[in-house]
Amino acid sequence: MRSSAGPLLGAVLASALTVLAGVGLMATASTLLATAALHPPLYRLMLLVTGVRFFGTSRGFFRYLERLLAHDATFRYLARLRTRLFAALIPRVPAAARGLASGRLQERLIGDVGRLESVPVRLLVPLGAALAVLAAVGLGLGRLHPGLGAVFGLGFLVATVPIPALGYLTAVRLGPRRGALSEELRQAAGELAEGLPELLVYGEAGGRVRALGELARRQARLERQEAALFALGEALLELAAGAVLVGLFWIGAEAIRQGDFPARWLPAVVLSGFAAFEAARPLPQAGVLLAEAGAAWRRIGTLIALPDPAPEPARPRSRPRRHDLELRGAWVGYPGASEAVLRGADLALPERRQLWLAGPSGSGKSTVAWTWLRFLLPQRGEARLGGSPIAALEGTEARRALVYLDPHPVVFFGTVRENLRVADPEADEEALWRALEAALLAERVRRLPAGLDTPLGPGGVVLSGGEARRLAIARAVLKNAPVWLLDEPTEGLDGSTERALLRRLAELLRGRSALWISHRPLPGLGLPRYRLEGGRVRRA
Amino acid sequence: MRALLREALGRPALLALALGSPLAAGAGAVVRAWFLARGIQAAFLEAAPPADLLPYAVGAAGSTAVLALARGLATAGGGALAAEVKAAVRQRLAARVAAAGPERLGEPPARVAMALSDAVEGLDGFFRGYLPALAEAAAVPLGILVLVAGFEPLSALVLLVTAPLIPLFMVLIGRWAEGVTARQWRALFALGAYFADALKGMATLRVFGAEGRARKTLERLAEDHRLATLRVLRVAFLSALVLELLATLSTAIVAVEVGLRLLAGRLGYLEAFFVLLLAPEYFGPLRALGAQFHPARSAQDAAATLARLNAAPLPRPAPACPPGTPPGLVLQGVRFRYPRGGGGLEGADLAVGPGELVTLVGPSGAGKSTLFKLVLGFLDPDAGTICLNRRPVRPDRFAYLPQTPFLFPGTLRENLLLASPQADRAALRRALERSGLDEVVARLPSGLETPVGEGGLGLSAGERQRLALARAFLKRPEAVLLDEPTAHLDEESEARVLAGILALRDEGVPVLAIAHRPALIGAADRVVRLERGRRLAGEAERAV
Repeated sequence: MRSSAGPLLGAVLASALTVLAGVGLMATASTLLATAALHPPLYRLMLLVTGVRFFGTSRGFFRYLERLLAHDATFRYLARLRTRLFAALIPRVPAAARGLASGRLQERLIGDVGRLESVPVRLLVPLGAALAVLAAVGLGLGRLHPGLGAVFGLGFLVATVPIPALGYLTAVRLGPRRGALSEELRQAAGELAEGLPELLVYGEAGGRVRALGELARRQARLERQEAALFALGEALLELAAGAVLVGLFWIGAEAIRQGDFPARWLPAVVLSGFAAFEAARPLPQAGVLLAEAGAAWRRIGTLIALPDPAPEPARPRSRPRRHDLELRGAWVGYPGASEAVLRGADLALPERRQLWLAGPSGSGKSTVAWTWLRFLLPQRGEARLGGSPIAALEGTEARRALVYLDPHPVVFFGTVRENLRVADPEADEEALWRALEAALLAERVRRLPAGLDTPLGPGGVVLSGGEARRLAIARAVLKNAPVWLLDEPTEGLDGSTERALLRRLAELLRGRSALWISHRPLPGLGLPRYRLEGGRVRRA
Repeated sequence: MRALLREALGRPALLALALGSPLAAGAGAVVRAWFLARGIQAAFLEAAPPADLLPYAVGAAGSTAVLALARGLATAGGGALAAEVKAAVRQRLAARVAAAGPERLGEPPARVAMALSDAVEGLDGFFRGYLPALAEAAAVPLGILVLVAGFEPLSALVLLVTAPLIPLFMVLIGRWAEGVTARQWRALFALGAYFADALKGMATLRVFGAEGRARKTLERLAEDHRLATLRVLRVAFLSALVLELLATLSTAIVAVEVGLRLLAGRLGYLEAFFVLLLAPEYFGPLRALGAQFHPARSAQDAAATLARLNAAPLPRPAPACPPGTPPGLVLQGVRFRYPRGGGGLEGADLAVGPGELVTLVGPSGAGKSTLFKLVLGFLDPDAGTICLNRRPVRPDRFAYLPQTPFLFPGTLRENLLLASPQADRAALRRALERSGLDEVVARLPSGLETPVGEGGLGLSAGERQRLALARAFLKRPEAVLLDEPTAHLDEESEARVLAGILALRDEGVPVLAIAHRPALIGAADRVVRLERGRRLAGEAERAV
């Protein structure tokens, strides 16, 4: 992966040069006027005219470079951030960060990643450029006269430290409240819109409208406060710039009286210090960004600091030949949860046998599958594969003999082919079609505009719930594993589709082991029924 | 947009602050430029003693204070204006949504929710950024131009010629960049979508040992996106170059022009230097306005969405029920056509007496759902009357069980009490028993205090139906409407929900249900078929 340091440094430099070109323009232009006022021969002005033209044109060039380099740095950082985060999350999803598989937590994580990826550039480029300009202009003025350097440096430091700090504190203090409030508003809006039939029927719509109005008013109050604080920062920045302007004028006038430098340099001295303030203007916003990025970092940090729920063994055993699965008095819980989900559960799935695990939702049926998949390990008791404790096997090895059908089958962003090759990157055309055939999906894929190469998901073809499930089955067929763990395989399907799919699955699974997890009956399979309740399994 | 401006005009003090302060800031900058020019002239050409310079320094400091105050007020005023307008727009839209009901809005609920939160938020930039920038760009450069024309017409001409190029270029470039970024946005979207899917599907990836490959794919997509985007940006950012060039080159041209005329003695130093100082103040507001192009555009889109929703029709007053209408739920000659065609009713008659369970059957598209929406008052019939106990219908006189009852985030108890906030313990217990929800509650460790809905426990379809039934028992409505209440249930749950429905009927309430499943059809007192011709075949079919 490419480092973003080079382009970042380039962007800082280009940004500083953009401001310095502006400084140069005002300095040469004002010196041009001051020199012209003394009516020298025309040739004495030519160098200054050239200087004015040079700075007038070079500024655009530097600005162009800055924007290009800053974007390059952002994209590089983005690539690095996402892949590293993904790698860190691999062992923690689905068992430790359960919410990530769906819904709000994922939305928040993706929002946080989005907030973070542009921050280093939007923060470091203005900050770096401001420091570079401070050094260049401050030293330049200081060499003419120490007082000038001091006034400029002092004013510029006020603009670069306390004013961004004010922005930062405002964002830190009000940001979380504002975030919570807008989340509440979003939720209230969602409830009003989605629950409107019920609200109207039960005469509650008026109350909800009033509540939403109250939230909106509270948000407005908070935003006014925030705007007032930002306004304070802006006014202070303007004051600092003005103070530098007046200070340079006053000290400069004194210096030319003392003969420290030629009088015609005075306008350039005053204007270059003032023009340099352009570098300080983005800084109050940088303080706000820093606060937001800090909050995003902390949230992501807690996520990747979650304990690994199934650490790999130091000296792994080799994969057993057999693949009977077993739970023996297993206590299994999730990191951070106070209570274990499985509390001394016993269950055996011998080779080439199938069983139905029933039980109310939330009773831990999926936890049984996840334990056998080595997504998490029992705290007490044991989970075994082919007689070996699963804890002693490497995760990828333990999962080699197993396939798992997720209750909410995932269609990955990409083509049909890419979706199938998740199971086997080497699968050839024939194998892919055989798997689609087996999953009753070949007909549908043949009718797609580009067959196997049709993009799926948003922007492409959107598969129905049943089709997504069959795609997941095709993937499982490609893996050709001896053990299948089917988690709510008929969830969200209507009667006739459900029966057809169950028939097909029964054919596919002949001669294999299978754990059927379902809270609904599985008509026509005639499986021995086990029930999970209170953390234990019993034969029903 | 006009409605938004009206909203802003309703807050004249804030509007004046947001629009007036930038002008004051512009004036402050001009006055400061004059003090500075005059002061430098005195120090440099006249070698004036400090005492003579003091008034200019004080003048520059004083105008800086005005400028700083005005800038602050502009930010605070713009922010306050945006905040107040958003709150008002939100309140009004929410009231409209509730008054119009779910069907007249013409947008799916998710879009309505988005409008209430995101679209309203999209107005922010318009009031906070665009309006103040527009006021400043309209007045400040013009003022400076007039001022400069008064003592240096030639420079005024240069300023006049170059000025319009800046906003023009910014708009052109903004439009073009919009197209370019839209394309790049898709590449970024692909990257984002894959990242989200890979997180969501991590279990699947790990089952197939594909997590390492997914990581590589992620890396490749990010690199592809970077290269493709940079290729485009290399061209797109030429716009930044052109703009920067326009603004700085114009200043440079003015500087050289006044410099040469100063040299020729056709212009005084004070005037020349004053013009140079004014040039950045002249171009600044124009560039600032150009930067507001994008927020203004998105605010326009948001405003269009909001205007559409705010124009949603309200319920029409229903005609009185004809004399002699029997009690219960009675539809007479009800006609309805969707404005955009498709479906509808052409003269539907139907009566459901007190304590009667009628099921409505018929192929999909026959108008069963439309009939429900009319009965609930979510739509207005074009002709005919719909009466409940001899009075025109209103939503709050019914209990209604949709296919998937909505769970409000909160506890189970809060979800129940929605139907009757004052219900006492006894009423609650009775509703729990009769709906069969008590069995569900008994299984939950926290009972009625269990959080449900988003972020809480996801109830199964059967449990949701029982909750909705319990709401119906609590409310004691004048009639009950059920839309395929057992569609997603297993047989066990179906039997329990059915028992609840019959219990409701036995309390003497008219019950009308849409049904496909045989169990509910079999339990009906009467089955009515809605024909394809969208005419109700009266009470032709009797239940077996």
